[in-house]
Amino acid sequence: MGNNGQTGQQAFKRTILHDVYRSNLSAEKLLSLQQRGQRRQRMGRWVRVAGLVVILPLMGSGAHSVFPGGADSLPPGKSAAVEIAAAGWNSGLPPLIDDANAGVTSSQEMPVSTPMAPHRRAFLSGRGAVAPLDGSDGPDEWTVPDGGISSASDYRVLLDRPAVALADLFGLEVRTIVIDPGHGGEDPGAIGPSGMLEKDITLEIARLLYERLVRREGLRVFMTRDSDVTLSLKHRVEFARENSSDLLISIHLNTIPNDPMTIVETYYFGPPADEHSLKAAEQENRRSDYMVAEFGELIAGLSDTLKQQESRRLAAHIQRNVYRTLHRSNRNIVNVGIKTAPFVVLLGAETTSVLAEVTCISNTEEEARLAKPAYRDKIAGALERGILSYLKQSGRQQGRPPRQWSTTYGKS
Amino acid sequence: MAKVKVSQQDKALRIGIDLGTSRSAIAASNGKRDWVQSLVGWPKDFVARKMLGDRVLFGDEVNEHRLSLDVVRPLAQGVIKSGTEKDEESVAELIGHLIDLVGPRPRQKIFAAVGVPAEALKVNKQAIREAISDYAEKLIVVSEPFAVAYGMGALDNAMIIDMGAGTTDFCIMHGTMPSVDDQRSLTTAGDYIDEQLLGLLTERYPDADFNMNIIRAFKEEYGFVGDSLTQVEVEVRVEGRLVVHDITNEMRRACESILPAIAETAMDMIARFDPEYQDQVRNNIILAGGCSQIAGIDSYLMEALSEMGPCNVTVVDDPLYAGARGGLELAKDMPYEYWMDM
Repeated sequence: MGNNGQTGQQAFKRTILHDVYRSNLSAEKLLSLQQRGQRRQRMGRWVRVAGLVVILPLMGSGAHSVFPGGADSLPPGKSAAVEIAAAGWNSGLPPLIDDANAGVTSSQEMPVSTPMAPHRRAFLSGRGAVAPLDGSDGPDEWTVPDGGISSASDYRVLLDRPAVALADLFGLEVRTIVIDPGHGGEDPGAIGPSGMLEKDITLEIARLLYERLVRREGLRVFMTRDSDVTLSLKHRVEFARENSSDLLISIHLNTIPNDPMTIVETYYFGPPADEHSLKAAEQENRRSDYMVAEFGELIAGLSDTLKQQESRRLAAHIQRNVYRTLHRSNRNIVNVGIKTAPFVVLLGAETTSVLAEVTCISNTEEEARLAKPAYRDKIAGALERGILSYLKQSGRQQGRPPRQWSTTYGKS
Repeated sequence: MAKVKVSQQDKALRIGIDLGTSRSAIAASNGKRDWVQSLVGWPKDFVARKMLGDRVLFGDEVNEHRLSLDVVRPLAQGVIKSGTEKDEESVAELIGHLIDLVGPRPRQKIFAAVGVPAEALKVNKQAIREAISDYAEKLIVVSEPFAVAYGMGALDNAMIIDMGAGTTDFCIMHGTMPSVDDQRSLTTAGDYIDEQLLGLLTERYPDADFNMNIIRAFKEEYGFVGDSLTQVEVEVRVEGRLVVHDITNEMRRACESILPAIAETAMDMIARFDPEYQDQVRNNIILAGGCSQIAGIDSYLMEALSEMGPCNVTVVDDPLYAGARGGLELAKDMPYEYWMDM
C-alpha cells in the first residue's frame, strides 16, 4: 500500500512536471505568436493605408467615391487626410500601436472602443483626427486636434512620430550585424593608468562577441577589423554599407580623466545630450576621414526616422544588459543611460547603429578587471544579450532555418 | 552528448525562488537558504551616494536608509512594476541579490524555478525571464501556490491559499498542473490589512504617530482573528513621547477584514470542483504566505467553510520558505530536457 502510494505520488509528479514544462513552453510560443500576429496586423493596416494614399489622389476629389457627399463639405486642403482617416475607420483600422517599449497603445489614450457611425468620426493616429464626414447631417464644424493629420502631405508627420515604430510597421528583420572594435593601429584610443590600450580591449571584446553571435542561426556577422590596423571612420561606415549591415555596434571604452568614477553609457546618433557627450563624440570622431561635401550628404540623412527609432531601442537593450552585468562585478559602476551624440560612425551607418562605451579604462580597478579574459567575455556576453533581447523583444529576428552564411571577417 | 547533459545537470546549482510582494526567499541545492524584504533602493542624490556608496540596497538596509533612497517595491500589488528603468531593474537586482545570498561557485550554472504571484505569472512571464537572464542558464516559472503545493507534496485534491502581501492566491491541485479555472487571485491580502489598520488607528488615536512600517510590524507581531486571550497594547509616540495604546479591537477588525472574501472564494472554487472530490479538497486546505501566520486564521476559515460540510484547514510550518522550498524541489525534480533555455 505504501509502495502504491509512493508510485502514485511519483506518477503525479511526472505528470505535473510535464505540465509545468508545457505551460512554460506554451507561454514562449504564445509570446512569439502574439508578436508575429501583431506584426502581421500592423503590416495589413499599413498596406491598406498606403494603398489609399496612392489611390485617392488618382480619384480626383475622391471623397465622392468613397464617402458620397462628404468631401464637398470639407474645408479645402483638409479633405485627403480626412478621407484616409475615415477610410481607415471604415476598413476596420484600429488606432496605431505604439512602440512596444512605451507599453501603451494609442487606444488607451483615445476613447475609440465605443462604436460610432463611420461617417461621423474617424481616428487615424493615437491623438486622432476627429471629423464628421457626412456633409448632409453632420455637425457644422469639425476640428483636427494638435498633432493630428491635416493634409495628405502630413502623412509624413505620422511616420516621423516616435510613437510609430517603422520597423514594426513594415515587419523588418535583422540579418547582418557588423561589429566595430573602436580605434586600432596608429590610433590607440584611450590609455589606462598602467598603459592598457583601448584598441586592444575593444578588439578582444569584439572577437568574443563575434564568436557568440556567429553561433546564432540566421545571422551574418562581420567585424570591421580583426587585427591591430588603422581604420578611418569612413572605412568602417563603408564596410557596414557594403555588407548591407542591418545593425552596427561600435565598441569603445570610456575615459574620465582625474576621476575614479566608472560609467557605462550607450550612444545612438543625435544632437549631443550634454558637454560630456559632445567631448566623447569629438574624441571618437578624430579619424573620420570625411570631406566636407561628403559630410553634407550624411547630414541630409539625419531625419532617418527608422534608424533613430531602432537605434534608440537597441541602445536601451545594450545599456541595460551591460550595466546589469558589470554592476555585479563592480557595485560602484554608474549607469549613465542611453544618450544621443553626433558620432560620425553612427551618422554614416545607414541602419540601426549604436556606440557602446562599455566601461572606463581610466579607472585603475576597472583596468585590472579588463585585463582578465573572463571579464572581457562577461562584457561580450552582456553585449550579446543586449542585441538578442533587442532582436527578440522587437521581433526583428524570425526563427529562420539555419543557413550557410559566410562569416568572413572584414577588412584587415 | 548525453554525458555532457548529465554533467551539466550535476554541476548546476538548482535554486527555488519565491518572489513575493513583501518578502522574497531563496533555497538552493547547496543547502543554503535566505530571504530578504522585497525592497530595492538606490541612493537619491550625490549626498546619499557619498554616505551609502553608489550601490543598490536591499531589504532591511532599504528601510534603514529609506529617506536617502529611491525605493522600489518590485512586486507591489502582486505584479512586476514597470514604467521606469529602475522598476525594470529592481526585479533583476533583487534576483541577483538573492542568488548572491546562496553563494554559487564562480561560473557555476544556475537552474532556477521561480514562483511568482499568480497575477504576475499571467502578465509578467517575459519580464521575469529577462530579469533572471543575467543569472540563470535555465528557468521555469510557476505560481507561488503551486510551488508551495509541490514542496508539500499536496499534488492531488488539495487547495492552497497563499495569503501574501499584495494578493491572496488560490490554487486547487488535482494531480495535474492547475488550469486557469483552478486558480484565482484576490487583492485583499496583507497590504489591505495594513491599510485598514492604519485607517482605524488613525481614527481612534489621531495624535499618535503611526506609519505603514509601524503598522506592518504590529500586524506581524500581534495580528489575530476571533477571540483574543490578551489585550494588544503598543507604545506609539504622541508629540514625541511614547504612549501606550490599546489596539486590540482595531487589530481584530483589520485582520478579519480580508476573511469574508477569502472564505467566499474558497467555497465558490470548491463548489465548482468535481462533486466527487469536493470533500477531499475541503479536508485538505493549506494556508501559506505571511498572512497565514495571523493567529486564529485557520480556525476562523474552518468555521466559515464548515457550512459546506466538515473541513480541515492547516497552516504550513515554514511560511517564509514554503514557496522557495517548493521551487527547489521542482528544480531538483525537473528533467533536464524540460528546462527552458534563457
